[in-house]
Amino acid sequence: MKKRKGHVLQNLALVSYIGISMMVPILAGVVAGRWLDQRFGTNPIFLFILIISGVLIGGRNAYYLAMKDVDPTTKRERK
Amino acid sequence: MQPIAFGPKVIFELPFLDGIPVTETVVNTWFIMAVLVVLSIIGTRSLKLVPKGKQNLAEAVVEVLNNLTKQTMGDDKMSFAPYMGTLFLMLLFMNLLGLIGLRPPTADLNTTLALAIMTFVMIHYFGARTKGLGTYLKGFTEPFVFLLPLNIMGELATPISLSFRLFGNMVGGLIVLSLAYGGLTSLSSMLGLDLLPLFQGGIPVVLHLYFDVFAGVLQTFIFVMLTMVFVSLAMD
Repeated sequence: MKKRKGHVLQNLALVSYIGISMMVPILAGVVAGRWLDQRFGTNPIFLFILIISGVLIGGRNAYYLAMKDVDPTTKRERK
Repeated sequence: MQPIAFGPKVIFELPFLDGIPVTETVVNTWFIMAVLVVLSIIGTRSLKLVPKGKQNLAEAVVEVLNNLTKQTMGDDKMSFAPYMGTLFLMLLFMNLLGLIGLRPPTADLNTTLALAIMTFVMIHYFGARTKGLGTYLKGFTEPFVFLLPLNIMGELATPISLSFRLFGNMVGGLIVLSLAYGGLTSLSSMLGLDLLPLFQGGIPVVLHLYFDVFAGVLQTFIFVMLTMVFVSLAMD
């Protein structure tokens, strides 16, 4: 992979995106969990399940963003 | 004291299906579209081999946008340059509309979500087209099959994060500025300066500089940059 210019700006945009990409799934989990609990009267099972999966999804999003710039060849070597 | 409403005002209603409200957002978007169309026509009229004046400016803008696309997405994805350039100019004009006292269309979730959904569709359409549908769908089950729902939810979070961040920035600036204008206006009239807008004339300039110019340009750039990065990531 050749070195690309404009890396600084691109990385700034991505870094500032990591925060919100972790936050959105967690908040969505809270909202959806509360709604489902109210709907089925199962307070707080859905809330817990969806918050935990929200945290996992947020972690996954951050991981994908952070791994974006790792050269595919080095990734394979490490495996 | 009357409550202050920050939602877009309804300008008129289209007379079918119980009346479709046409809000400030839509009308201001039409205005931006008209401005951009007129500027493109003026900039590209009577093109010469050696550019002069307005053609020079138009070429400089196109070149900057082309270079941005080339640097971020690579030479092989230059076919995206027209879309990214259009997106950039449109978002830039939309975010800077607050400077002339109109409501920025991006301070409405409908606008930003529509643009983010376009990005989302592009990510998955071009991802599936370059990788082949099978490989693309298999990518959702990596690294383990039981992560499939997690991967799907994670992908669905992308347009939400993209649109909420632009919307939040713009609507936050709009609210702060409306409150500042309201407060400074009553401050002026309290001091008996009804005819002389002493406070609301100068002080909001600083706020405009930060919320409209700085945040507007930065968020435009970030939105376009993230669109380019995500589309090219999905294709590699």
